[in-house]
Amino acid sequence: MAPQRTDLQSVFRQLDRLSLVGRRPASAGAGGEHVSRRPAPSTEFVDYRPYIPGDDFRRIDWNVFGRLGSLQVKVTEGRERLDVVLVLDCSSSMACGSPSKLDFATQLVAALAYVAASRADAVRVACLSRAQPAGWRGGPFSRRARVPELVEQLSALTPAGQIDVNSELAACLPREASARSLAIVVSDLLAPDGVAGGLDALRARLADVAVLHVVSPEEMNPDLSGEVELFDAETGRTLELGVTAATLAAYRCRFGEWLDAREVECRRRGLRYVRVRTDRPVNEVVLDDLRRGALVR
Amino acid sequence: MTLLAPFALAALAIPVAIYAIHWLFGARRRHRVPAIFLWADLPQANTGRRRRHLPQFTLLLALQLLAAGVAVAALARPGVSAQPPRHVAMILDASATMQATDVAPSRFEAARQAADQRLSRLQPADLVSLIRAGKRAEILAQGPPASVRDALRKAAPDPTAPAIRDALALASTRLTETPSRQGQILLFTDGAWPPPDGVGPLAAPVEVVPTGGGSNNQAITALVVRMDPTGNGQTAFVELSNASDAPAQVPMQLNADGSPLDERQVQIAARGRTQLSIPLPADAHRVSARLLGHDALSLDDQKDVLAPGGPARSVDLVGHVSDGLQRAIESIPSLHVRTANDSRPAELTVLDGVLPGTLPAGPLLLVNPPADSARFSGVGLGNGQRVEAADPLLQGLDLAALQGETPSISTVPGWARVVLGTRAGPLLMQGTLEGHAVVSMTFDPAVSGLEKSLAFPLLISNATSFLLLDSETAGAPQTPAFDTSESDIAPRPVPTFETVANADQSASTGATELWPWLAGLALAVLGIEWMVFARRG
Repeated sequence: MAPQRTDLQSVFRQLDRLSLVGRRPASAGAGGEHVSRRPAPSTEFVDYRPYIPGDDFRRIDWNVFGRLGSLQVKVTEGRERLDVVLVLDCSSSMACGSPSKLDFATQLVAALAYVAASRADAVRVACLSRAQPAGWRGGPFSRRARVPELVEQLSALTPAGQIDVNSELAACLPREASARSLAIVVSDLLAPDGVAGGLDALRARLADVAVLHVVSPEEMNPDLSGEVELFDAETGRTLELGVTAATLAAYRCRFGEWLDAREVECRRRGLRYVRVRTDRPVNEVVLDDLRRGALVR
Repeated sequence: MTLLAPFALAALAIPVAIYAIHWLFGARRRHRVPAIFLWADLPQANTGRRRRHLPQFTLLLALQLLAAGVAVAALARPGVSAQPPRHVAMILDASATMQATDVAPSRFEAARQAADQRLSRLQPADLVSLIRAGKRAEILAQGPPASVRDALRKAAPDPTAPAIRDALALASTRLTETPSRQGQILLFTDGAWPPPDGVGPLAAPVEVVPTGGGSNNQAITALVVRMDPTGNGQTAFVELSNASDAPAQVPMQLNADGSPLDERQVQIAARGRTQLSIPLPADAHRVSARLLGHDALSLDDQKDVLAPGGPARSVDLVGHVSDGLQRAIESIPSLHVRTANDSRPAELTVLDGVLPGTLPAGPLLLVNPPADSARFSGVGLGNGQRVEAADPLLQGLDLAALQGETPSISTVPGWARVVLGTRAGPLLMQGTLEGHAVVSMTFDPAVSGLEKSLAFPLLISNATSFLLLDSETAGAPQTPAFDTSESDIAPRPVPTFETVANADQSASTGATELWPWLAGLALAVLGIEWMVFARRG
């Protein structure tokens, strides 16, 4: 079920005090709440430095002059807006599960967009596909008033078929995204050979990347038995299986190893990795899991 | 449990067809997964090379098979026997042949035991009519099974042929009186009787419970002693028969007044007869013939007669005795007509046209008794003639000559037994009247000219012999005469008895049909199957 305005209003209200955490100084312009590298007049005192001609007289600390006899200027830290890129995996594999991983992921993206917009961050949303959906306007949004528009767009999303995560991860980024942007990838990371290539490409463009790995309970503990024909949601290939308890046990073991491998891939590259389950409410995921993963605070 | 429409079981092909459809066309459950590579090469997983698999026994398939099976069962209309109260008419063949001992201890006892076993199988709520088919059919007892056991124990056979037809009619009548009960007629018999004529449709099916079955029996079928025309001796005419399918040689002994006179081996052909004539002394009176061998039926191995020889018996003639009657009596050598002034009672009194208030002592031969006498008031003879052909009174007689007579009375008094009668009334009766053995000829032989026929003196001879023998054997227990046809103890093919149209239906209506319940169950299972299917999508 795609996110609806009414559904999300109550959820978003709990996220008003949250803020995204970037590992790099924000650089999307003044007016934000994130630490910036550029000193700028503000109330956030950082240090003193000797007065040099041209400094604003108003920044001279006269108490220090009276005590030490030298002119010292107060250095304050500037606050800027964070440039956030939310990458949503729209592949057909995301349509599995109940609720589907895509529905859950769109709600999560909407929630993160709300959190970012609440702090006047510049939010862009990109679908993990070379060709963006028709009529797609991915931002930037920097006001909460634009969030309903984003929700409507997310609600209209449909599975886009087979997507090669490795080749599309970096390609789907908007051109406006800078190296200081925070990229949050929401995906099930399903690729037979892993997503190392895609992550490397993404890491080459953006310094700060977080991966939210969406997992549904159905794929963790499939309820299958007997003779079944498995149908790949992306490739359409089929596989006939006589599912036994041993088959399920082997699958669960393989799936666990596969999850761990994806986490290792991310962490080795210095990426933040948070595994989220679709059977949990989105607000709980944001308030608990993402906080624990140092993605929000 | 019974199936009222067993042909519907052919529809069992439907569940088989359902299974075949699942086998031929049933696809595996398709399951969409995010990625198939995670499932590849799992243990015992890949069976994709087989194109056709035996269908997995899923809940849906089980429900479909169950619904089809239950529906087919409903079509077959199973019925549970509700065990409606039964009415069983048990006919016990009490004929002479049932005394044959080819089964121990006798056929009758074996039949009695079989009947007792059948009684044990019945429920206390069932009703039993116990009918004895002896000389005549009579109902011995009717009631719950336990209550007729006593009557069954006391039942005894007759030395006569069985009244099977009357017994069947009586049983059918009794069964029709209880239409709410499931009727059945059980006939315990050896089958040694000819197919009865005129058995109409019966109220219930007849089950014959056979007993015995052998035919090894030889019999003395006739013994007649005649005085020689010279008066110097007598001749005994003996007829022997062999009912067996094999020739027989039997020892026979002839006694006169307790002394053996002759003993010889007699050869009798298979299912044949042999006649013998044996000379007797003129004074021999009590003559008996006896077979000394052992066969299945001993009842017909001895015959006793009173010979005309021996000392003459005194006879009083009372009333207006006609000349013909007097000549007939006087012609019998063993009789002596007394004068009227003899004070001693005669050994036989003949009353012609009179019936005094005080009867004379001894046996009485009544000829044309007064019709207005209260001693002859009784009930009517009913429809049909009555002829006791085997009765000693009618031995050797031309019945046609007698049946032309006009009876002087139309009713049968309670003391009498009709030996010969017409639709108009009895002609010849026998019984005991006020302690006297009586043979009554209720017609006037002088009117019809019977006195001048050859049958008349023979009839008088039979009557006087019967009365004198009866008086001489008054102390001995009275037993009915043996029916010589009963010497043939071989069973005959039992006929198929017809039943009325609704006799079988009465049995079927006793079953409680289960098809409505089964049909409802089939619909319920189909509903569950639909719900399961809809929920699974």
